[in-house]
Amino acid sequence: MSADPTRYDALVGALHEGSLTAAEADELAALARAQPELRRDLRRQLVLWELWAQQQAPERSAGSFLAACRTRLRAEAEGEGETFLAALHERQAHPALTPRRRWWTGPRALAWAAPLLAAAVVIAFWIAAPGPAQATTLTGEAICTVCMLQEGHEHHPVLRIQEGGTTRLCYLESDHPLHLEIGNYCTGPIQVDATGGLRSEHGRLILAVKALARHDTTAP
Amino acid sequence: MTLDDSDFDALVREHQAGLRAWIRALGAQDAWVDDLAQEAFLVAHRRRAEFVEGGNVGAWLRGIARHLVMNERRKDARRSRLLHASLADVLLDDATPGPAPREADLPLVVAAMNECVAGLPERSRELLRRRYAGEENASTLARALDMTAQAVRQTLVRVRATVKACVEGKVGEVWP
Repeated sequence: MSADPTRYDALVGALHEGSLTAAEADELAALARAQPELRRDLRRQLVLWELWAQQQAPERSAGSFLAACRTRLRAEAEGEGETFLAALHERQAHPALTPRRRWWTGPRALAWAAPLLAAAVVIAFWIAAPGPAQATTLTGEAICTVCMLQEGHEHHPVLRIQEGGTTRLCYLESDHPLHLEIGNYCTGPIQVDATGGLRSEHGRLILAVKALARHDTTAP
Repeated sequence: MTLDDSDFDALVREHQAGLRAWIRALGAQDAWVDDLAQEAFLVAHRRRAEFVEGGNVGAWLRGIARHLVMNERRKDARRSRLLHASLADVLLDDATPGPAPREADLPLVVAAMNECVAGLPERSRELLRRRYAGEENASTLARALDMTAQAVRQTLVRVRATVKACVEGKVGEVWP
């Protein structure tokens, strides 16, 4: 960085504190525009402390955010409902515009179609069901989805695997409660070997755990 | 794309944290980040038919968010939900909705951040937690922690730099 790092830090600090003046914002913008590494630093800082803020403020939690989204979506849908009702009233006022019901959309047709559809779905699942996955053993640190990754509300273990300078996450699932085998992965990473069938779903690695061994049995 | 209520919930759950961070990095004021992100999800819901099955949902959402922020930039400064115009311009010019920040890498950044904060001295952790949990400003924190406001600001600058360096050390180049 060729800019005075102390000055840059002070400006970014003021930005975080919400006390940046217009003149200081222009100064920070000029520094960032001139130097790509400062631009990247600024972007990273904004990302990092936004993620931290989401965790710290209860009103900014994932659950609260989702609830707010649902409320706004419902408000939109109610608007659509009003439009639909308006259209319905319009049709009632002008019956000639009401579409004629077709035989395959009536309740009788549904009574026929429902069991046939259910059978077709069962057959499709049976045909599409994958064979047993080959057992794979992965070594890594078991960490918690909620406590460490801030994902969802249920505490599940994820294996963090470091390999060749890269880190990957593999979600662990099992018929048995994994916390009994791993220990308290909510309090910190626990080194384990996990063996089972590995698959990928929606870009996530998932290991259906068949066997699990802790490296350090004195961990919590 | 068909998107019923449970699909919408899943979409929001999976992408909300990253999208909010992305919007903040585009130059949104912290107080308006959630508002803009919610708008982005509503636009996505409205335009779900336009999404190509198998496409990159994250990039699509970020494109929508970027468009919203660019519209915001055209507003009068008094009504804008963005940082100062010059700063927002720099951040907007620098952002493309492409692969970064990658959703798959975001949990790594979050986990690294939590570990790095956990490694701080208790007083620094307390400062960070209170600053963001209750949005206490430097003066309030100074009174509560028996420090001067200036010392609180300087400590926060130092602590933020320490955590950022620690996170970079842990996750390397996986984040933008």
